[in-house]
Amino acid sequence: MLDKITFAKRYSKALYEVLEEQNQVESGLSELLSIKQVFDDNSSLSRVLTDVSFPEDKKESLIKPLIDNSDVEYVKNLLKVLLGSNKMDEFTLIVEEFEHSYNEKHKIVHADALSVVPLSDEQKQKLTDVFKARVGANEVILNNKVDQSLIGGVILKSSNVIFDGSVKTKINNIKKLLLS
Amino acid sequence: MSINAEEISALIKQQLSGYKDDLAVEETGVVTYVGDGVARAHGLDNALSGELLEFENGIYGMAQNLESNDVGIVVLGDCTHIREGATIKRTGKIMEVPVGEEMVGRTINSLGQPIDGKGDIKTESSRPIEKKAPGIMDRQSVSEPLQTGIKSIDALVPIGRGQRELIIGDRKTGKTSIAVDTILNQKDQDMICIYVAIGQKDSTVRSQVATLEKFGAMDYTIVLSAGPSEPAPLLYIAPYAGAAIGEYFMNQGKHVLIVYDDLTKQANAYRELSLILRRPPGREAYPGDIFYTHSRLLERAAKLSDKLGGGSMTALPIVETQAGDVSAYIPTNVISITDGQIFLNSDMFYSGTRPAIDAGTSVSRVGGDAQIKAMKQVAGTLRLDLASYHELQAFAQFGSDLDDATQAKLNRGARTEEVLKQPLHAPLPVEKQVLILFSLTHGYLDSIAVDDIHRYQTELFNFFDASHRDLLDTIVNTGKLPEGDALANAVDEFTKSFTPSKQEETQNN
Repeated sequence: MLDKITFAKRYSKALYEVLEEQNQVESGLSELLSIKQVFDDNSSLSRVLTDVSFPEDKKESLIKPLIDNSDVEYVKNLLKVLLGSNKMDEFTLIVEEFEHSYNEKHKIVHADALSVVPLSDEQKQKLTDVFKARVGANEVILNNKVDQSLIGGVILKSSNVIFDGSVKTKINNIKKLLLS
Repeated sequence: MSINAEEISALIKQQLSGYKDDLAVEETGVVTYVGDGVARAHGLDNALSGELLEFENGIYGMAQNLESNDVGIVVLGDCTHIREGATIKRTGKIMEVPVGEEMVGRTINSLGQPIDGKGDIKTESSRPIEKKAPGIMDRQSVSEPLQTGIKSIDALVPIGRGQRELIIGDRKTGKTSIAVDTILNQKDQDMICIYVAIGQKDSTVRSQVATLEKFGAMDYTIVLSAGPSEPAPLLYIAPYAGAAIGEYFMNQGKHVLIVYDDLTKQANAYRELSLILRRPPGREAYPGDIFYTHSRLLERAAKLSDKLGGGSMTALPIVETQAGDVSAYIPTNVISITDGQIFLNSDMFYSGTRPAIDAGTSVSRVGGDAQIKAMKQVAGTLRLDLASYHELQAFAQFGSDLDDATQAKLNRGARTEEVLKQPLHAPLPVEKQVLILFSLTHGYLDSIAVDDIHRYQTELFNFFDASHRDLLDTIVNTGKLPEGDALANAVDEFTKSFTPSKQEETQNN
């Protein structure tokens, strides 16, 4: 059996390629994100949709409004295929992978900025500009979170890399240095 | 003694001088699976194979499998505190162990940390545990003997410094005893010994260390132990860590003896890891690279060229067989990697021939050059004598009428076997080995009853120590037998004065 990630990667890749041919990537992405929002808000939805003891016709009626609301033909098809193969719980992963490949193609970087106090717009803009230059991205989407335990400074988390400029880490480093 | 505030602040300033206010950039991943000493993590896109990774709680892991979606990691420590979703950092380093003179006399684990309760080991340097073995130009052929102090090994399967000699046999046949006795005999030989215990019971290791201490061998020995309760990755890396420590001394021009006890258990630990890492199983469920696991380890034993200081590392790997089956996977692999093997036979062990070295199947592929001349002279025909004795022994059981020549051969054979017996932890210096073998091959023992041979040997040594020390010194200094008939005359003199036991006399009457 395929593991979930491999499965999601294959489906998202296929969907991306087919939408790219049709020049519908942007509209497809916003569709997918809004459907993902529905799944995220109703955490039991994907579980119900893959539950074998739940009647098939009820599953279809559950998913029908989602399919009807969608404008992009291929997104509709994806939902139908997933429902037919009982893989509805993979949907959010597929969307994440899809977004990932979209971001990679357009050099968009998502980053979490952890700080002790909320950053002002000006600070955010400055951080975004610096980070953009550092990672060579076209666009940086910054998501500010507040974490009191940092004492001071900012931590930037982006995909697999952490840029740690917090006072807490610096103090810890000094502690290590003094103890060794 | 009090330290004033100024001194303290000066000390702190000095320690802080190394601090750099840099932005810490870390590549991370997220743990998705943890269990059985193995973890998997997403992310870590740039991780290298064999790289050291750090978990949140300070435990280290080693990247083993780099796959399209995740990284397979072996956890070097307690994995019960690692949770799914924990972050894991790259360190950019590969696994290293501390090395140095300070380790001698200590008992350590696979990570080089002391486990003997004698306090920290403060070493200056460290070495990567995986290192490529010395190449062709860095080596020279093995030429100096490594005296094990065991008659049957030094006479029949001599070991040279820089050689790799396998000790193989069933459980409880004295494999470890041979290794320990060899370590005991390295006293005053300017040797550093490393005993790597892999998956050996902690109580066993404890008693080995006690033995080494009792005979004063811990002064030049390092014991590295990865017990059976340690996670499999630590058992897997133990021999490499031992080899890294050995290489440190070898590169300083010293002579090192390293014992891997035993590689069967290391192979089992590696098999466990590989199966959990979902590598395809091969023969006996061992992974495909099990041969390379052992060959790259044993290849690190070497005799370095004079340009590199002429140091050496002799490896004595131990492999356990099941019911004498040397054609199993791991034994055949290691036999083909090493320069010879000492085969221990359980039947011989239980019939009282100890050490139970099977002369027929034991070989040393390079050791012949590393035997001193005197030993070659007296032990040259020993192997043939033993072989023909065993052959005749089978025949002799059928009939009683034997011609004199056959009877003589049988007598000589029985005495040869008796001479090669040796008690535990009683290694013999080479000159005394030569002496007793000289008496054997020159027929002086033929008139001595088999039961008396042990006493004969002890008294012979005492006699020579007292009256003919010069002859023994000649053997030690020149490596050759004394010229002329001096040795023969002295042995003859002793043999004539030797009084057989009373029991024997009554039997002869």
